[in-house]
Amino acid sequence: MDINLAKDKLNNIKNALNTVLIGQENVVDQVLIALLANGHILIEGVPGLGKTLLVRALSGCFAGDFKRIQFTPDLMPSDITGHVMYDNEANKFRMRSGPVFTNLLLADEINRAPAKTQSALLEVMQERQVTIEGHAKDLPHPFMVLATQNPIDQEGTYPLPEAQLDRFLMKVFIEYPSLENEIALSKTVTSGTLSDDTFLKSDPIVTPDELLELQKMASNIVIDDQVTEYAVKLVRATRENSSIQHGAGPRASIALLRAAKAKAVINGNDFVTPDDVKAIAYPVIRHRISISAEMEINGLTHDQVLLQVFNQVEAPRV
Amino acid sequence: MDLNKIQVSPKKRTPWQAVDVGFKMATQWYRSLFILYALPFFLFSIGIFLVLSDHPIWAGLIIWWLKPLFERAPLFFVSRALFGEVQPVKTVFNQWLKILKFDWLGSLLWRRFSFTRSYDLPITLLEQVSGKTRAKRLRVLHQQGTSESILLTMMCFLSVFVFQYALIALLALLVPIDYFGDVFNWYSSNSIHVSYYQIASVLLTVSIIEPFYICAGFMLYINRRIELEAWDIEISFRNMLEKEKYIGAGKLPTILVFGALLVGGLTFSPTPVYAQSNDLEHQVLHNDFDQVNNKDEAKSRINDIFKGEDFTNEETISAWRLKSFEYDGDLNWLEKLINAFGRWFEKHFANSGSGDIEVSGYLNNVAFIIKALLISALLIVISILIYRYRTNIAYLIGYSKKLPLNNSTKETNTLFGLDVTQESLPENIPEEVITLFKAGNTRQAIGLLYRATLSKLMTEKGFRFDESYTEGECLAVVTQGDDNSLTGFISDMTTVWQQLAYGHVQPTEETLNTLCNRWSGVFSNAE
Repeated sequence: MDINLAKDKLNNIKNALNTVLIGQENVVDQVLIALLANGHILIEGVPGLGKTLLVRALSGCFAGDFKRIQFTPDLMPSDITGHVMYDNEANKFRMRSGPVFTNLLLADEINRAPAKTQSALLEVMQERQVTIEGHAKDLPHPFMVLATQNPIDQEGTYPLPEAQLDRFLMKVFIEYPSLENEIALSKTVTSGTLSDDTFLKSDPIVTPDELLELQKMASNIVIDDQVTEYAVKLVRATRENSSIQHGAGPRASIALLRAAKAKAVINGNDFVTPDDVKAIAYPVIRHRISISAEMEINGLTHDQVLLQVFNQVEAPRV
Repeated sequence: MDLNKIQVSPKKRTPWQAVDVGFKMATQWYRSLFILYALPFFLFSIGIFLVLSDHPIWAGLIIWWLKPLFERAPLFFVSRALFGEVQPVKTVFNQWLKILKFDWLGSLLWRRFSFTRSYDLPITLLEQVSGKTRAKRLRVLHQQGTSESILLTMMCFLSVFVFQYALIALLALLVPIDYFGDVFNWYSSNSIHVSYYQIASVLLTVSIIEPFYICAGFMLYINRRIELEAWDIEISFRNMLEKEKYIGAGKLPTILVFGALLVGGLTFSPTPVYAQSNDLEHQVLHNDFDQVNNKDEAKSRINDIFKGEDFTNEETISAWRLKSFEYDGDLNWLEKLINAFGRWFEKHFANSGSGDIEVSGYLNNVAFIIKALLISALLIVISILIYRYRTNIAYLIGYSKKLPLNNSTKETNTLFGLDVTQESLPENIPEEVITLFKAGNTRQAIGLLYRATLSKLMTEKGFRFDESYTEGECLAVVTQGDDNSLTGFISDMTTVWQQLAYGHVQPTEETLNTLCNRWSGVFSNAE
């Protein structure tokens, strides 16, 4: 598969998603980047913006398996990973695989489950395997977790621990659509052109094998040393600035490069530019840092602080 | 009291150092001190609770009121232990009533609320003075260490509360979470059991802290006596005397000095309670005064001895000191101005018949207030500036390795490592680019063209770029200028540059020629 064919295929997915999720082009791009970079994504937005819809639409474009877990306070780790049970008929123990054994996993309202249950995803997300009764079992390839969470209505929720957050390649915000987009969306849905199961009826655009090939292409794309250095400098700048209490770790550098490569492929380029790195740096780094109390008191968001930090990092010197 | 057996180094300390030594003493003999305090205190408390079982608050109040009496036994113990007489707890308990007897009424009435109780208690218990003698003694002692003893009392008072709430927190931690609410409801109720629990926790925490309080106060007292009575010097001379005895050849001048200073110390020290001098010292003193009755001769000898090796200890030290400076009168103009204004004001008031107003004094006060306000304002401004730029200052002095945020966008002469100043560029850009390209230096050629483009954008078109701008951001800035031909050229130029720089894709000669031609067209002043 060459870069142009890859771009076409990705554009098809993008268009399909944009048809369902009107006015969220950036979010769609970032979800595709995460998919292509073989990473996991955390989508945050207030209720009613189509977080779950986006993930279901993505699953409609994909011929692989898709499963959904609705996180609730009483969800147990074994409800996610699976467990071993005794089969009376066969007279032996049998493993009952949990919903994580899929290609696309929607972890809906992930912060509604307690930390113990959230932690069940740590091994799943990092090592892409599940250990049950001492036996590790690999997850299918490709595998991606798409988690959603709601920034308001925090009562009864359990904030994701730093270790868990760090395992998400990107954290994406879904904002309210613009007036024009909201009008278009409302018209489309009320005229019957688009319904909740539209995407489920559509033909899959990409198979698991094709997706693996796209991921391989993205990982093999050319990246100049100067660009690599620039990405690392951006991440390191978050550790060396007084407005950030805890900066991002080396995992962020790796994630940033992977995401930048994926972005380049989506843009139809076979090389990574500093623009790719800088553009994707916000969703990759924003959930891996904690800003200082002074910045919070001043009302600055993570992205605003990052913008100021990145402005102090010189672009690559070629 | 044998000074030679004192368990701490008898030297002059600051009051807080003395408090520290006191705490150390408390830990040294904590078990005995705790038993001496807690045992009678608990027994007495249980008795009171039995008598006033329905009135725990009253019982608690009585116990608290009588608390100073229980401090005496531990003080008695530590006052002996400090001088090497560690008495068994039982022995101290045998003397318990005797210890309590002196001045118990005053301790419970007019001295009950004294904040310097631990500091003053040794005077009551050990010196056993009262009335004017006590007041005189207190005046001497309280010239130093009073504020520290007050703070010590307050600290221990607060520590009781901290420990008490820690005990409550401990109780809460030990209770299963399902019953947590029940326990707190119980604790906040008016139940008599809650009152008993609270009082019991206070009794326990008081018993834990009191040995430290007593020892710290006692050490403050000892420290003051070391200073007033020169115990350290006395012990030094005693050691010297012992040394002389050991050598067997007593030197008269040394003994003279010892005698003179000892007599001096005794004359100026105000206390009736001193370390006992032994017979040998008395004998030496008498002999010395018999032999040396000429005052001048004695003084001369003393001076000679002071010049000797034993009393000469020269050290060279270096340290930072504040330079002494005098007020140079820079603010005199303000004073003159206000005085002039005052004279005018006085004259004006005199003319209007308000002569009863002390205008001059009033204006002096106003001047003083203005002066104070100006100095305060200056200090505030300096403080605000330091606070505002604290991160920068910390970074500059190397205290912090973290960079401060910088919101300003600065104009730069260097972008992506390329010098984009006009002076750094050759006269004829397209010609130079093509020459470089033909010579096989493709990267240099495209680099030069891109550099020249940015330079022209800044110098001719007035665009501003920051060092952190990537190629795409520079293009975005140009796009905002609504010049389509310029935007188109910059877009193509950027693409070629990025392909070469990051994708390692060489442009064709045709592409380069096209770019050079368009470059000449876009920038009017180009050669």
